[in-house]
Amino acid sequence: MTTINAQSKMQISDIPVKRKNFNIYKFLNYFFLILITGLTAVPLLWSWKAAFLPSSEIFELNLFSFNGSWTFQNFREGFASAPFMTFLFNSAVISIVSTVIILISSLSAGYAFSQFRFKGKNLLFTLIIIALVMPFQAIMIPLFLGTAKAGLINTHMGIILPSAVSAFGIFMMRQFLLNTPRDLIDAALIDGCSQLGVFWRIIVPLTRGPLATLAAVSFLGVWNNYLWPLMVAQEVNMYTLPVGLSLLQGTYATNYGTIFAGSLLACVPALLVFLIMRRQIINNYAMSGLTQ
Amino acid sequence: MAGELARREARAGLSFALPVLALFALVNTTPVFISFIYSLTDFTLGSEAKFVGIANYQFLVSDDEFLKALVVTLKMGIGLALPGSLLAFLVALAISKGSKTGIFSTILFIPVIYPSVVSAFIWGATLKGDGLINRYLGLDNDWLNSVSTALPSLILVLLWTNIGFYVVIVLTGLRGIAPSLYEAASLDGANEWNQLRWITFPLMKPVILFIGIIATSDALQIFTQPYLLTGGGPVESTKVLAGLIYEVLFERLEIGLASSIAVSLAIISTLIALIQYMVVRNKK
Repeated sequence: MTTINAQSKMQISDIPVKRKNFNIYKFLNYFFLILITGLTAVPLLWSWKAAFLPSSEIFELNLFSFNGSWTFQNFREGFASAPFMTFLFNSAVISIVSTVIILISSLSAGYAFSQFRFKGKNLLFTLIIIALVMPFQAIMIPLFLGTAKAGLINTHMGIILPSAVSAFGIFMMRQFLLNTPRDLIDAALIDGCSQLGVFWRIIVPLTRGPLATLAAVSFLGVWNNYLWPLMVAQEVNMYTLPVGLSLLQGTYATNYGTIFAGSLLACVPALLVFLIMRRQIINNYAMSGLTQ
Repeated sequence: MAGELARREARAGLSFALPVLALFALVNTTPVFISFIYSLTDFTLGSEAKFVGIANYQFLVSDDEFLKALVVTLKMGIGLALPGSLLAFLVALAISKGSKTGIFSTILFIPVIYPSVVSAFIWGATLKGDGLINRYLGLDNDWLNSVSTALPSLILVLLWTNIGFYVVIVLTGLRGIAPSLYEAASLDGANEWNQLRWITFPLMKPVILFIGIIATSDALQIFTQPYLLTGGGPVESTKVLAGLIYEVLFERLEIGLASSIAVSLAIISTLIALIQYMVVRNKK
């Protein structure tokens, strides 16, 4: 007993001796990293601070000083005299509905492309791949005129429709489901499960992980989107947060307090989604470039 | 019997695919073709559209405004790609040597997922005449309103936005290098610098090239930051293709011409995607 104890004690006391001495390269390495991440983070932190400062102090207060007259006035003003509540509501409805439809449609089509044989499958899948590399500009003009013709300008539906299907989502779900053993599905079908039953009871639970990632990435995409809602939302009652804030900037030109209060509202949901799903989102971005 | 089964499978497959593909065709595939058709007309809002063949494209190749926007877009792409890939490589290298926690890449990634409109506000306030940069550097430059600094300023904003994305891609590449290569090299007596010079760098070349390509294709679609920060000015020094399309469409209502610019942009994008595909395939 005592020998073992003595041995383990000796090992523990060994560790500091083995540890490397102060290393100039390591120090420079960390210095560089902290400098770059600092430069990245400072503008963000400053804008969060600005949301709680009176407009007169935003540019006067020292960058690193917290000695300001903190206030919620910017938010009160934003909710009272600027329609923040409306923007928030529109952004939430559009992002949540779009995300739900993207999930269902991507999984459904991805399932069909990965597990079934039908005529024209390859041709149809090629169309999806082409759409993957098409810039939004290539479809935006007919999309806008079509939306106008259908009477969907300045409606939630008009803003949601183009973002409700995702070539990337379909591609991602197909890739994931290609590895699903066909036997699993056949066994359920033989046991008398319907096609829809297989979808809900096997495919949906099986893809929970990628679905969560797709939900996060899609939500971020729609929540942050600017160009399409800018074109379709033409009156204040339909503005999303990005559109509303950008147009407020014109009218409240000098009132940076309100702008940054609204900006904070716009970035908190995005940040929350990012922090919860950080690893998946980052991996997804890293892979999305390399798998095309 | 087998035929019946295959038919049943096809029917089930189609019933999963068709509703989605119908919506997809409506909002994605069809508009691509309609864009192309519009681009062959002189369609202007409020007047009858006439088929004009390739006249719009003939006009574009000698139109100063289009050519200038094309050059600005490419400048933005290259201005983003060169410092972007170099900086991403250095940062990723520093992260892979130092930190295992992911805290640095997480912070660097925040601007990537940030609403672009909010980034534009932050940088608008930072770069304006009495903004933060001037105050801390003791300068008096109107960064976004002078011809010589407007485009570099926008590139800086985009670099800040995208650097986390590029870093993550390089990190993925660095992790793909087999550790045995470094072990073998160090057994042969290669020091850190030689390992970097003869192993890491050659293996990372395609990844860095790849970042150059995505930065260029990013630049092709950039709209929000120039639209909100400079409005394409001063004297059109920051007017990118996406901004020009928006202007021709909503201010001049020339749908035919706007479509021909959009189709040109789509063609360039597709070419870049093809190059990207070949680079990735070569790497594998």
